[in-house]
Amino acid sequence: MIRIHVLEGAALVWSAEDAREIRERFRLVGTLVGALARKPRQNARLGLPLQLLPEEARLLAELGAAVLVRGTETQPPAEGEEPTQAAEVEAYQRELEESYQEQQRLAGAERGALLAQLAERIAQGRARRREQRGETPDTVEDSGLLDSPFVLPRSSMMVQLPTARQRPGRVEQVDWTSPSPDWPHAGRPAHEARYRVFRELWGRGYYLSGGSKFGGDFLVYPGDPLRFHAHYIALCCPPGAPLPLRALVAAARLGTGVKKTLLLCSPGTGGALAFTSLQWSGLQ
Amino acid sequence: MDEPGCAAPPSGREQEPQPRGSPCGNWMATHPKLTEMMSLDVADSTQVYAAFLVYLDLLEGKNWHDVTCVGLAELQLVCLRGREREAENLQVVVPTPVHMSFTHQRLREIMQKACIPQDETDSPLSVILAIVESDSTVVYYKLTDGFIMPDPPDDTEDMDNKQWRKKRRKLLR
Repeated sequence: MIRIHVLEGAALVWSAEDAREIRERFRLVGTLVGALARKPRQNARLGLPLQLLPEEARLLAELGAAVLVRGTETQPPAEGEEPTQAAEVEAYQRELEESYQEQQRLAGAERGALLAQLAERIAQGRARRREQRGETPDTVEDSGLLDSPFVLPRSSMMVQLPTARQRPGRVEQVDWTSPSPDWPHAGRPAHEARYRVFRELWGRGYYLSGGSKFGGDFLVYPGDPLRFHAHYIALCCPPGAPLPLRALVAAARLGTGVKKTLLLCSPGTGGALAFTSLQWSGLQ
Repeated sequence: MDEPGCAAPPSGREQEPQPRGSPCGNWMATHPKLTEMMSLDVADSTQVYAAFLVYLDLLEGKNWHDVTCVGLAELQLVCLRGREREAENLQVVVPTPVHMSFTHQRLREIMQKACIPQDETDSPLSVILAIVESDSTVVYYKLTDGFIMPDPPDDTEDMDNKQWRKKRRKLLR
């Protein structure tokens, strides 16, 4: 069961396996919105979590493939919980210290082995230097290869940054059919209208993504967005909502400029949806 | 008040204030096509005037053939029908002044009622919406029922070599 974490209306998927399944099995794309741990200061490539459109999250919930959950640990610790938090912090510090000692031991052993390998060369080099300086060659040198006990600098220590929670956090399920602070979309007419269009287009086999970059509601792709450009910019028109002509011209012109057809979508007669394509006429 | 292009009316005639978007000059007001459209008595004067401007643009500006006007009473619109080129099918053009706003429903209604039933019944309903600005600019947009794929992108071989090389360099950087 895919877990979708909701937070103030945003739907997030934190598990890499779930994100993959959502794309491969359900043909839903979403957007990666997280910073990458190794390359944080850029946004050309982002990582988990995967943010889903409200329509995508609802589709998965409706199909029974996902549950919407909400974390319950966001409140500050209650009175009795503070000692447990302190204990956890202490345990973490202890683990860190143990890891450091282990790394120091291993690093020291490796250094020793390396020096042993090169012992002959080092001795030769030292002898040459002593001759140059004119010292007697009889001076007994310690095999002071380990001149001082080896100390691994703290800044060179390797630390693991977990990118998944080590223990599952406490979550509670959220009902996607009724509005709540973390999932306010249920019942809103705008959301319902968009969802109807989304479900219909998804049902016809298209891939869909957010259309705000092109002034529309959705972008409609004939295949995976990594392989195809979008064909349509879908604009959901609620029945009875007037479309000012200037806005229509602006939207259609943008569509022509980026080689996409503008698709007006709204509920039609008899419960079906009506789609109208808008293109530049080409009259010079 | 002297307006260029308008002959001063004789002093005996009443002057009705003309609504914006209507012809004020004598030559337009007595143009036979405009009077024909007015006499259809299906739409208000701004829509009729828009239809007249589109009529002139199609014939004189775009060189269309066989352009006729049709009054659609239930939609309260004057539409035009014509051929873009000699041997092509008739197309329907729906003129509208820019300040009118339509719902998606009304657009579909217009498509269903104004469209000419073609011989091949599987071709989708389609009209051309001609939007007329107050300065007489006309923009034409095609409305079609259903999903119409956009034109494919240009062939890369047509691109200027220099542009292509610049793009490749940017991609591989």
